Amino acid sequence: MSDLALTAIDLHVSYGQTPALRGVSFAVREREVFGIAGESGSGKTTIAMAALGLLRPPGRVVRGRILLDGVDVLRLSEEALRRLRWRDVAFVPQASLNALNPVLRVEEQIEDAIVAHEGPQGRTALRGRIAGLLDAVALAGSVARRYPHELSGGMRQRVCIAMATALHPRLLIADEPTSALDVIVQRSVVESLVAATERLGASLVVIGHDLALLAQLVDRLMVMRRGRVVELGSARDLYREPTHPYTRALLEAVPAIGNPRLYRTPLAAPDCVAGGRCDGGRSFSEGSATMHDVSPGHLVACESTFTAAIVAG
Amino acid sequence: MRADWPLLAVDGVRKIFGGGVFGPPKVVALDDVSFEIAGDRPAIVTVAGESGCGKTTLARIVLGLLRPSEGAVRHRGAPISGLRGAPARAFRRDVQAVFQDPFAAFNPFYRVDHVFDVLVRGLALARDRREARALIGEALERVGLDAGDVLGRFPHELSGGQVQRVMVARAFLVRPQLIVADEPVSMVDASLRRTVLDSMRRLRDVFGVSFLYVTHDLSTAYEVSDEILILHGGRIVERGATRAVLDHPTHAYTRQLVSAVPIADPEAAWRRTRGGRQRDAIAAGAQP
Amino acid sequence: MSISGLWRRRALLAGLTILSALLLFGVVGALVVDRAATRIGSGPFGEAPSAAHPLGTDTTGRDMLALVVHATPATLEVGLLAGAIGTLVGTILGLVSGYYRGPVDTLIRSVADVALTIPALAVLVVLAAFLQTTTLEVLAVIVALFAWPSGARAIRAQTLTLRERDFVALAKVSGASDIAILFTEILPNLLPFVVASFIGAVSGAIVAAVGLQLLGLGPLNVPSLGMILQFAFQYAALSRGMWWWWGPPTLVLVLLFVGLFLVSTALDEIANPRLRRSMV
Repeated sequence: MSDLALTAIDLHVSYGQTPALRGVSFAVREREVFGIAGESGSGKTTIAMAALGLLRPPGRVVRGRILLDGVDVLRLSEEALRRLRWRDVAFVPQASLNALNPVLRVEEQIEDAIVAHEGPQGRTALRGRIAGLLDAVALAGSVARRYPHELSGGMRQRVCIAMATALHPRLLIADEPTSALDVIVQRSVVESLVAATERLGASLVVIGHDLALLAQLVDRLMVMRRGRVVELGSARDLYREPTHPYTRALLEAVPAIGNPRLYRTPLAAPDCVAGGRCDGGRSFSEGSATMHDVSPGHLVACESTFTAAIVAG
Repeated sequence: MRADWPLLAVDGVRKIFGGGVFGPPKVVALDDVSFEIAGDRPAIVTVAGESGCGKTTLARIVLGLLRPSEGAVRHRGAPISGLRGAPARAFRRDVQAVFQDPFAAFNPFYRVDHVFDVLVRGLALARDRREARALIGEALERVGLDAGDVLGRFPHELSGGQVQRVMVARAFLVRPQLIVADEPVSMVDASLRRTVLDSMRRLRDVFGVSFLYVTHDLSTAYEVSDEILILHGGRIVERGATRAVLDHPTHAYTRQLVSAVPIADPEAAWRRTRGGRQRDAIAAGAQP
Repeated sequence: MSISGLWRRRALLAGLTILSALLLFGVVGALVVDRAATRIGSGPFGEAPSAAHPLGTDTTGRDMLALVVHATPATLEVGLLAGAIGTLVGTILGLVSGYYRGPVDTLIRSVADVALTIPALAVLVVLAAFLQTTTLEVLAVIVALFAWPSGARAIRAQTLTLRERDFVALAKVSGASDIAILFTEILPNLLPFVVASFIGAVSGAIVAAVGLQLLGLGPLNVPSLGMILQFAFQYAALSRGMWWWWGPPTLVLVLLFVGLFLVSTALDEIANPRLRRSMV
């Protein structure tokens, strides 16, 4: 499994009695940009929280496994998780969240993070390293001495990316990394994020609701709805050959200039390819319990069982 | 008051922030901005640009929340900065607002009802409590909300979709001629965005409401708006019918804005056009 | 709950317990202990505590227990009255200053800065001497002159940020008047700050009032903690070893300040948003 950065196997998560994830499986490969798309309530953010070991009561993993480099995150102690975060897997928060500490200069925040995981070290070396990190996300060295409120939203988000890459993690998880940023800034932040991931040779899981934005960076995409995987496949498959009606509805809802449509429409509903006798018995490695292969690597939820499952709650 | 005066005229507006002896350096937020909203032909007019281009300042000036340094905003011919009493209320009844973050538009101290109460009291819309209740109930119904579900509750007890619709109901309660909508969909997800944009179109077509739609999102502007003003560095750099401007942008800045709009096509992705490493080999890799 | 949250609750609880105990002591005590015993010559002169006079008597024959019992609510009254006036004025000036900005703001801020920097007690001494403080109420009003600036500053700073909030803009668009916006939109969100500045103003006012009284500039005909101490110092109770004379009023004052301090630190943490920690 060494070529897999992150694997989720039949993951069920609930908040109290309310299920948030109802059996989700996927595998993020080495050096891959993996997108998770869905609307609010789809469970996409819950996946990130579970993978980072940041689920807090009443949220809990009911069953399933999350493997990070072959290690089951769900079995780790709080202390082991703390060491794991940042060093092995780092998080880029939502731009609108203002995740930076308002009273610390940029360099102090990055320093704190490095020292917390690597122990104390020489100040000159640290400063040089921080300058390098900022330069890699196209920020001037002078940003190091600034406070978060002196920076624009786009610059703050670049600082978050620089911090996330500080300890050379093998996996980055970004949740709506450009929400509330305007188009021009959004583009440059996305480019910084992808460049930083490629430089590290890391994998990137990017979570979002904007399919047009996700199309700019993902290699593969997983579409979620109500805690289940609706469709999963390469970017080309998902955007050119969307098969599930929900994926199509999401793509239809993407506003665009000139309205380019990349796929034939309407397409026949993806009836159960097994002629309605789908038993969910497919031996799967990714997706939810009952998925069909449309083509190699392109999975779609069986509509009949999917609907039945949702109706059943 | 002449009948042929436009509903709203923005006339040579300039806005300068700072520049005092001890204050922050001078910033020209808006420079010689002029346009009109006729009112007799309801239209959705987009003001588009990146953050810092002055679009939010313009929205606040149009709403009378900020005074222009030079120039004026006129409501049916009268400068709004001089309005008092009945003409001021007439302006508020004609021109209403919906803000970007619906939760921030609620005072956390009060229940949802407060935004309606302030409006009914401020613009003297009802003679008594019962009449006010009826008005509020009707406005909520129009956006598909049941008064019993939202009134008497605190904003944080409602969903994002509900609070944004409450805000639309509030704006529509006074039957305005113009609604200034500052980034109403930048913080909502796809299906709610669709609902909000559809309701803008419906209000325009059925109730004759015009919109000043302030946004950085050109693709939604392309879908709903009739006219567009591209704002850059406080100046209008390009204007015209939305489709004409965005299909064939002439100003370099407009072209840059249009090209930054992501297209839902991995073949046209930024990382590819920027010479990102070839991903197809990985994407095409067999299932593990 | 976090450690600081727990500490905050305990501090608030302890502070409120002390303050209500003092209040109870004054109110119930005043009903039980005869006020007549606070008159000069109503008892033996300068006696140490005994069964008849549990806290002894002073040199002029006043019963110390009766004095302290009747003095506690009087001193509290001065503090509360001056604190209330100071907070009311400070809140209104802070709201006006932060909301309107411009010349009004400059004026109010300058006056507040001056009032905060000049030695208040010196000015109060002159004023008190000039105005002849014959009642506790006059004393409270004089003390209140310097009880508003810090509250005004805190309220102004908060008003500056609140006035930019969307709900204030929405109220304006709804046709609400400035007065309505100040008092129904902004003020309710400042209540924690108003309460915190009230507690601070009360402590400050009690310090100032006792200070003036020690200098003999307060009313001497009504028992108050400052007045007892003034007499104690005048008659050299300290060097004569009459601990029962200066001890009890000092103890009550110390308890009062500790109670106020505990409540104000607890409230401070509520009023000042704690520094957020960065994520992950």
